[in-house]
Amino acid sequence: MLIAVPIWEGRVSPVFDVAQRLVLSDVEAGRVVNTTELAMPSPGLLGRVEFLAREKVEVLLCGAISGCVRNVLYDHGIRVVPCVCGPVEQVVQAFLENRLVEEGLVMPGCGCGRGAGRGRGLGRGGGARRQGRGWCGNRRGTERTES
Amino acid sequence: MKNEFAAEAHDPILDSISDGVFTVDNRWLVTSFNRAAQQITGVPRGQAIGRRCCDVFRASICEGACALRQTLETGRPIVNQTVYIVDVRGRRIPISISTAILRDASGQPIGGVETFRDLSVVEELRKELHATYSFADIIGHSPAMRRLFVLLPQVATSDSSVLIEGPSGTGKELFARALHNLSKRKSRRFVAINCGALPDTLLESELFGYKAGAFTDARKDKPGRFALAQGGTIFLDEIADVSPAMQSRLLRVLQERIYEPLGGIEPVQANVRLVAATHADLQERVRRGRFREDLYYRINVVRLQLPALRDRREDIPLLVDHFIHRFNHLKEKDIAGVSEAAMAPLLEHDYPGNVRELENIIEHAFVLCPSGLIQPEHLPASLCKHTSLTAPRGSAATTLKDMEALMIQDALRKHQGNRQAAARTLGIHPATLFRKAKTMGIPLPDQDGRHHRQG
Repeated sequence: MLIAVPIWEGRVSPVFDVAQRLVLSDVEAGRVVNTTELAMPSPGLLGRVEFLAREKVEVLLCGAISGCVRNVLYDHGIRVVPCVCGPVEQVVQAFLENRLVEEGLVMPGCGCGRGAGRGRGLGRGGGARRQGRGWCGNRRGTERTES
Repeated sequence: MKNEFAAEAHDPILDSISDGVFTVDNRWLVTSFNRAAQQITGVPRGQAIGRRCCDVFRASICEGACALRQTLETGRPIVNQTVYIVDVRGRRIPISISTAILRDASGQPIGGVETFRDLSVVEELRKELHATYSFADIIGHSPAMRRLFVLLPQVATSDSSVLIEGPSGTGKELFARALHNLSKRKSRRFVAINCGALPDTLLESELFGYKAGAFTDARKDKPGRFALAQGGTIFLDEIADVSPAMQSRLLRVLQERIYEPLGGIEPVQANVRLVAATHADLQERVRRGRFREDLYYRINVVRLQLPALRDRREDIPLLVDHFIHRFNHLKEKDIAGVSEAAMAPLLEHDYPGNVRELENIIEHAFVLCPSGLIQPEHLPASLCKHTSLTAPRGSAATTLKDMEALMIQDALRKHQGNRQAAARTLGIHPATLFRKAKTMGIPLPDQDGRHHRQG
């Protein structure tokens, strides 16, 4: 699995739409085996989406992201976990351990009013049903696990 | 505990200001956050205090050109810089910001203050005025729209001619503008013309312009739309209504990339991307000999088919939300939404006028609804009457379950009982469709619709 995280000063970039650099983490058997840092194409919906699709990114962990960009990424089969903040390494590890909320790596205000970071939209997930749209008000209810 | 305490310790003076205000300390941690800041960003004060300002504010400049950082470094305040923030719902909110340094009693800097004003209303008005709509303005989550979203950016960069087909009111011009704004030509002009609205001779001079003396009263040169759109995009709406003579002139422009203004001798190079639109079945017109086949194939390099609103009913609540948000800005009202009872006829209506009709319905409701939720009595009488007369089940679909049943029935009807096709349209597995239909008591044909077709 290839996880992408936009990076700024070692932390998750606050806004994906304008982020300038990206860290790609290659994950095998739940562990990061390789990390690469790349420059992002200049701001622009198409360039960014194509870039991530070309790099075969499966999961994007990011801070704030415009709804339209998120939708297009989703339609390209890229799972988006938005509203994430904190040091990139810690964020990737916490995501793999499904501990983003517990470790407080969630942007303020993204938690359905149930305390910082509580609610759906974050966490690891797996399977098509859990294609992350992210925010708690999530229209597709994407982080549900359905039996 | 610390956050909860901070949440209580707010300043009534700051809270009375309609602009958002927040302060940070020397470590970029938020130390105060007023009421307007909470409203604009959607972040509660209790969660904002003590957090890094970029994680709270999420502005387009946080990473590259933080205004507050510049002020703290240079000592110069910044006034009314326009940027955007991304709120908790993923909406881009245009704001103007101003910054200043905070100093203690001895004059030492102890942090900074940033004030910001929501420019959504101004932006909405600007869009109304200049029609600068983009990809982000196209609303829809239905499978049909999602297919278009995937296609649109690729089509935009290709520079090929595009034919947009779809019934009236489905947003053909909006798509054309979005294509232009996503393309390499976006810095040049987007010029739209409705071919069906002009007589042939006028259309010719409008498109290609004329030279002084070309006809009586032509005292000086007038550039045509092709000249205005040079380097950009020309949008020819209602292309099916163009006369055969005009069709051959257009074909020449597309084939040879040149045209001659009326009365002109020298041909002019046309570096223009063509986006054409029609509500008619252009292929059918070609078959009947009413539209040139060679022109059809020239403009139909890429074809986008926009769905009618009745074929993407699941987008109606989203569109209603969008129009309410927009009209709240434009009409300075504070309508909270649509009541469940009013949503039912909105969901069941057939919308022959498509999205434009829905927009008009919401605008009508805005006239009658003073505040709060839009109720059935605020909707046009014809809508409620029409719905109650034509509702196939006698009662309005007021719950999600009813809506689901309605959509399953619609899909089955549309595909003449073909369960597999109906399931595909709904984006569910045929077995799920069968199970849901059974649970909801929806009668399924004894034979799957596919058998009829084979027979």
